[in-house]
Amino acid sequence: MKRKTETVQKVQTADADLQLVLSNAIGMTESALEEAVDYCGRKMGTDDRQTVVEQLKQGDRTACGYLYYHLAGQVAEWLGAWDESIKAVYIYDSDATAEDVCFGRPETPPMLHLLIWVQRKTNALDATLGVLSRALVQSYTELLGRPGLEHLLDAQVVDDNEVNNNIGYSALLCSLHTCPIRIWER
Amino acid sequence: MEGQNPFLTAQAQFDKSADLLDLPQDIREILRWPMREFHFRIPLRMGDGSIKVLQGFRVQHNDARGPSKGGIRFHPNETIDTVRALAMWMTWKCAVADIPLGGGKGGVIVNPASLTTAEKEQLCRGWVSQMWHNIGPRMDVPAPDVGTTGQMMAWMMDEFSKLQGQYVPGVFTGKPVDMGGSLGRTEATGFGVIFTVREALKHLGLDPAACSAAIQGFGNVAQYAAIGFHDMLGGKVVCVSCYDLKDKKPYTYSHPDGVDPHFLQGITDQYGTIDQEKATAAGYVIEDAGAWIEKDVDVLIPAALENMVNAETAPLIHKNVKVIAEGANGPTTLEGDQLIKERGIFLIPDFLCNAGGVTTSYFEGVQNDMNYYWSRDEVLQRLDTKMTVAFHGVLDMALRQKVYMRDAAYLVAVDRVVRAMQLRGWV
Amino acid sequence: MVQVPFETPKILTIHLQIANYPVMADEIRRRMREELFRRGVITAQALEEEVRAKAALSQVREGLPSELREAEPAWELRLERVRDYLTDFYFAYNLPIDLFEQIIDRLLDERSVEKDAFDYHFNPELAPFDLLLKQAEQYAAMPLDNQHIVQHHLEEIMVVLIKTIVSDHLGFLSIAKQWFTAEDMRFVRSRRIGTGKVGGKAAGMLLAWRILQECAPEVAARTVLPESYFIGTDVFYEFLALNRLEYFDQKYKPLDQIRAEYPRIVAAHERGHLHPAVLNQLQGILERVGQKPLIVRSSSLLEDNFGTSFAGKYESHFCPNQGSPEENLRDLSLAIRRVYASAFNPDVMLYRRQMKLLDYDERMAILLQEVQGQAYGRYYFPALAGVAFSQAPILWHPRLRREDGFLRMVVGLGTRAVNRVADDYPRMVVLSHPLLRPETTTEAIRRYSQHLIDLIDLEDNAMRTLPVDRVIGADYPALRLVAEVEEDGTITPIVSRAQFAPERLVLTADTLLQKSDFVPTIKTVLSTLESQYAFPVDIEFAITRTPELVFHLLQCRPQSSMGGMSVPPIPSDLPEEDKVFGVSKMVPQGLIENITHILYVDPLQYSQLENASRRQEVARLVSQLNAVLETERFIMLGPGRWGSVNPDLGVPVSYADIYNTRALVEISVPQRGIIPEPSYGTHFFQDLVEAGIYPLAIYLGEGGDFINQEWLARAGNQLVDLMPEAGPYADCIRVIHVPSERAGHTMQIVMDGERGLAYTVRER
Repeated sequence: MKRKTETVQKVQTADADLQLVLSNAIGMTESALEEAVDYCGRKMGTDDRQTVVEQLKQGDRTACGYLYYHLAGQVAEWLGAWDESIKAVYIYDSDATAEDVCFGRPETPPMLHLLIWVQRKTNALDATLGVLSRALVQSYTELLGRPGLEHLLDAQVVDDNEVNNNIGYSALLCSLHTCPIRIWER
Repeated sequence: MEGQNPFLTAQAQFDKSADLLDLPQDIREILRWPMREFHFRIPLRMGDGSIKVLQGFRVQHNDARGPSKGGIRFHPNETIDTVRALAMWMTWKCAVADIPLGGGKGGVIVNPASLTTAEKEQLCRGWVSQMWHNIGPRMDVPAPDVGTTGQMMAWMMDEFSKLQGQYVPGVFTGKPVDMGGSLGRTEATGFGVIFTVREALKHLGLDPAACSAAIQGFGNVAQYAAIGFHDMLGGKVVCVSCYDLKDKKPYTYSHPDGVDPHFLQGITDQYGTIDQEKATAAGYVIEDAGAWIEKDVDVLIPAALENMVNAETAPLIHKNVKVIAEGANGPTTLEGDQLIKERGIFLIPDFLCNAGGVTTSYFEGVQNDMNYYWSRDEVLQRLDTKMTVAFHGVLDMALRQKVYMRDAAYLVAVDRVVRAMQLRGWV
Repeated sequence: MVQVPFETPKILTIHLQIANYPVMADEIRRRMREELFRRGVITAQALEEEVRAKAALSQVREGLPSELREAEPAWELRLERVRDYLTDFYFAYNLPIDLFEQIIDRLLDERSVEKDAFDYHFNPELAPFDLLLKQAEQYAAMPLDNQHIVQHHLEEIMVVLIKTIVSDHLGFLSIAKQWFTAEDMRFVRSRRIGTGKVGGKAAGMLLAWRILQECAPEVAARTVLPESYFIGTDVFYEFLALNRLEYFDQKYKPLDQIRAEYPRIVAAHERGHLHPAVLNQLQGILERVGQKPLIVRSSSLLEDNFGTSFAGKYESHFCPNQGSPEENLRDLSLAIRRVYASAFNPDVMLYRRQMKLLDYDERMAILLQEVQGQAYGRYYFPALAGVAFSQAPILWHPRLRREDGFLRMVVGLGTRAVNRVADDYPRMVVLSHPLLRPETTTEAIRRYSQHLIDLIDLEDNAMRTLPVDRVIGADYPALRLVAEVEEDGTITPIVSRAQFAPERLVLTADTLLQKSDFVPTIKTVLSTLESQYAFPVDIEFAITRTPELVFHLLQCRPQSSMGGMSVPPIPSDLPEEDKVFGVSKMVPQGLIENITHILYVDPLQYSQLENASRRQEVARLVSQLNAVLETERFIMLGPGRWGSVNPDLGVPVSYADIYNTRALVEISVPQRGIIPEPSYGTHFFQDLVEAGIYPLAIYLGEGGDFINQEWLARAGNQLVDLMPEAGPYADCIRVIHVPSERAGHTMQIVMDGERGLAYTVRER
């Protein structure tokens, strides 16, 4: 596989702190997913957890949407608690198109598209996100059985400079048509 | 920034066009503000028995050319000024596409993900019960938008029909095909983009078959734009960009001989992710997400996120790019636009380029009205005619007034609305 | 210890001294200021600015509520007092006290001379102009309390001044003396070249301006009078003498001879030259005017006076004034000489003969004006120009009110509105309903609109007539006021630049008429002038947009009238065979009785004449018939536009060829799919109006218009009896003697303002 390696983030697992992060993250993602499934059931008007899980496995759009939203909220909250430099977390629509967005859109993957606004970008946050991503995959696979799933998290980190200059993914914050939804702020 | 008022921005954009057209002050005053606004509250009985009161809006910016048209948005950050701006934008969009509709937009300040399915249905019906006197196939025809779905349109249409005492499918568009929706709409926006690209290349004297394109995104619009460029124009699609589940970043998929959009569709899983292994095996090259914009191609089609062609990325556009077709809504920031203008690249502005969607919505209303439904091919054929005519309307204006295509599109739109008002004796 | 400025006594001295002369105080201070300005202590402007600033401060000091400050009633008084205090102050601090005393002494000396200033000891009619002027100014400057004592003197002097320098027409004088001031006369003299009167046109313009300033100040404030210069009447005589042209005594010669000699006269004038002193002064004017185009207009003594109108008879010439100084002077001088030559124009002579003005010693003064307009690219022209009448001379709809006035106007130089133009139409507006027009279809509105623009081409240094679409671009400042576009068969105002398409422009001026204050302004102007003249008036005007709308008043004169005779009702029970023709469009009010002859040019025969020269021959025969039938009451009835220069459109006559007719009836016959438009005699409309000749038009096949062709065809033709040599044209020209066709009958035409009917009736 040809890949521009310099752009791929390497997770620095050697750091002792990260072990702590990882165990914490797995704990969080497990419970967050559990809660998200419950939330999904509540919203879809069923108590039968298995039905919900089945729907999620089949990629039911409504179910995935609820799961996605609730999970994103929990993840954002966790991240906010973990990294002081985070100012706000948004979810955004990765494939927003014309005004009739709902027309025949392929099923959305249960991907968390997060926009994380930090004062300053740090390696530590990158590492944390890497860990979090793996924890999410692990918990998700355990719960919903999706072998081969490698990532669940699309986290775009933007800093004050980018926000002020309206560049990078921070430009999304000025969206008129599909403005990201703020799910957490300090 | 978040602090920027979108309605002021929309008014400023209008003022600029009004200056170019040298419109008189009284006409500007009519168009700078919506003609009608509805602010209402929708009481919602929640699953737990409590009552939640939600704020709803409907803005009818201008209906000189026909009933208002525009989506209903369920979004927690919705503001009246966003709705106003989008309603004004719809007026221009319908006018530039030359469909006999005006501009409207509606919304509810709510996060739909926080509502149960039953609550959503109740909200939809609640919205209609507040607005039903002021919407209808001859007044205002809403459609789905951010946070709303075809299912919701069906609920709303049902509620409206109940209140009217008769079946009125044409009051909402974007309905499921089985419930009065139109065929062809899945492809409509993406193919519409390609119809305009085709005309642009013709204007520039370029042979589409010898042209290459880079497409951002691989969602609905991007997929059909890629298919259209490849199948209909015979051009080479150098790359598409899409999310990759194997990494936390989107990637650009390119192929030395051009990508085969059908193949890529075939190896895209139900989650919309292209299978990297299979892609690599077929000779695809996977690059950084931002790579699409730097490609040495003739045509660039940003068909995903808003504001991604900006001060940072616009300078990276390759010197050989001749056409930018804005498949997405608002893919270009003001700064990005300035750079494109300076470079003299032929731009097909978003509200012309992706008007295939709204045109098909209009077709849906037309079919509902006559209670006769066209085949997919008929829809796409008519769409081609409409888009081609719309494109040339804008091109003529750009040539005649010697202005940038985006400005020309606004001029065409504003001028058409002004003339409608003139003919109706409003001004 | 506080040091007292050593000048303090000086300012006190001044103050106390002035207090001794309570009445003279104003004049003393005026002269003090003059000294201050002259010696450069302070400029007049700086002083005035300080006065205003201090006055404003004093308002605050005196606790005047802020909302009252803008329009304080005592503001002028306040300014005056502050000005006086400041005068004292500056004088005391800057100039010696001796000078102050000198001022007072000199003033006292002067006063002693004019002790008995209330009377004069000379005969105004014989006194030199300057003396009279000075005397008038002294009277005018007197305190208001004393004015009544000298009023009769002032009036007498003013009359003499006006007679000497403006015009000696009694009708004019009786009004002018009420309005003109000594200052006005001084102005006229300062702008006059040579001696003699400045003539009717100049007089009318100045009088109108003066009336507007007094009676409609709010309109006058937005009105501009063109920068004007006058060439006195004496210069005309001087010119004739200098060039030995006096022998052209045309007045009492037969008309044919006048006509035959005219080209020679013009050539002689063109060869002649003006007195070097006059040229010198003209050069001075050109230097002052710079590169602005000029118009040289006749301003004869007879012109523009009560009851007569020489509209368009004397010539006007444009001087684009874009060449070298020598070229410009040469062009200007030539234009003046050509205007002089137009005094001998046969049409003028005839008109004078008819109006019994031949014995009057007509002298030609000249009014020299900067052309009112604005540069647009290489062209220079006003947004609109034309003539306005306080009483609408024609109406075509019962709703229209005559007394609200009427306009004829064009985009560009007003020549197209004033003079005859072939196949082009000025915008005609009845001011009671500015947007109502006789035409009803888009096609007709477009056809009846203006297609050509007269303008000055600055690059070519020439006057030009160009098609509208070659002149007016999307960026023309007054575009939306004067033009609309035809879109899908309707004419719509331009509200967006995208609508602009040169080939679809229609000059309607509807937006100006509807959305600007132009209509109220011109109505005020007309009604004000009419009420002060106590007579209907017409004016020439222009409009520019820079970007405010500016109204330019170019001239004013009493309007001629149709004469208010009573009109009997149109009989409703006539047998068909008695009717000769009926008209229904733009019919005036009036009655023509005892018509014995009908001069009928058969439209079909006329159109079948093989070439233009044969049609010219018809015009010549008509002219001769006009003379032959001089003593008869007759009407002329013919195809298309009487007076058109294009023989295809109508018989190419001029006013001199038809003046004996009682009505000029145009038959609009469709030919080759085109209906030639009746002119209603617009080419010589004013002439017709004054001579009581009614312009009528029969639109065959429209609105109940008809012509009894059968009767006309059957009737005997007396042409050859009257003019044996006209035999070859007997098919085309028919002269019908009504009593011969119906014994004891004549024809009469009754016109009630809506419809008109010509019918035979037993002679009373």
